[in-house]
Amino acid sequence: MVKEYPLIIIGGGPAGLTAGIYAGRSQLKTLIIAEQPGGTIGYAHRVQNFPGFPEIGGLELANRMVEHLQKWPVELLIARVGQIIKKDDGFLVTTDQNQEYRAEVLLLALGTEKRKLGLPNEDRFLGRGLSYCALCDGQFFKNKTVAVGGGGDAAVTMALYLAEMTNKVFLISLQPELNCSPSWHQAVKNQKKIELICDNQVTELIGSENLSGIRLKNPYQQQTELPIDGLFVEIGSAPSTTLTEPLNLATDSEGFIKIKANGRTSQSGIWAAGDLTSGSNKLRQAITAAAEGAMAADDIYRYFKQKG
Amino acid sequence: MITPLNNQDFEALIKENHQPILADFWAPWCRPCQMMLPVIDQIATEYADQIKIVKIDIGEHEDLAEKFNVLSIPTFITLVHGQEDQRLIGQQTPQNLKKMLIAAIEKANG
Repeated sequence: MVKEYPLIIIGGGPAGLTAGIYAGRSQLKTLIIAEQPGGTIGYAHRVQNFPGFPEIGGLELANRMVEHLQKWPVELLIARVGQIIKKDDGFLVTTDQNQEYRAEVLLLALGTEKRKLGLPNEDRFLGRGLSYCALCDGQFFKNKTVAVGGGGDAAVTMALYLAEMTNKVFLISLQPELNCSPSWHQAVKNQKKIELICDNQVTELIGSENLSGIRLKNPYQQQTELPIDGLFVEIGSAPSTTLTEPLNLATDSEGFIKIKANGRTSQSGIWAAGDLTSGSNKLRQAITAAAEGAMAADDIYRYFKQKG
Repeated sequence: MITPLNNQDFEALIKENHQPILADFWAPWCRPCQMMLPVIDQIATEYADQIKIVKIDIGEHEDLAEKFNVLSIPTFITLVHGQEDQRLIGQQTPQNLKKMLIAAIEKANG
């Protein structure tokens, strides 16, 4: 027997969890299906811009959000959604373990996936000196030399974290200057172990068994080859379209789902919130995701109330 | 059964154990490793009689991480007759891990 819910929220980051809290407060029978309860904020080294927490680890913030949700009668299923099918009376959601659930309406809060460099041997060096998670793998590079690819807030905090344990961190930004908040910019300036290389990018990964260097597009100190022990990549993220493409949702030119202020998408019965939408004016922070989740859940409550 | 590697000699464990081993290199600070905990528990129950799972905290066993050239966690390595068979790096689906385990079990049973 397929379990039925008025609302299924897919995704359990700040957007999905906040929506869950609001749905719980509205006494709306809700299921959240999340692969990673807490979402990608759990990978952040430090979070300094979530009110109530002047400075908190990303994982701790994520865990606190999950604990907060669990105060409300909302079901949380840890699973990966494999398919969403639109039916006449709602949606059929199937997990990759072939569990099926029916929803009258959906809230998509799937977040985004990290962008890769797109280099031919990227997969070969993954776990051989190439990493996308400094919190996980930084310890392997104690007293060594590493590089971080990227110039936004996440890349800069990654570099600052790695500087605590390594000898040197090259921070390689595609842009002529860092694209991070001024406070992080100042922190980079104050951290003598970080060497900033702007207006440049990694074009080749070099090494035999493990990564031993990278090639840069433009020479740096007359050299295009930079010997390093590890490369950490943080060059932004993009929405995963595997699940959403068949739903024919309107998106912007970069693939982010277009939403109205109340979280409604171009398809009836589907709301979206968080990093996968175009709703935060490209800010895409935990706080904006939480706000979008709250607004969407509130509008869903009004929808059911009006429907009676 | 899941065996956390405390002060045991991993080499001795490999020699004494005739089943294939799944070495799970992890650390308490690693988010994807934490995400894998329920999957590992499920696999440990499902393959209880066929495989030994050893959890290796890389913070406590840097030497083993270095020996197995582990530079990212989670890393899962199957050992058959003491030799590395396959490895998977990063968060995995249960299906991926099972596929690797079945290959190791079949190889061990030769």
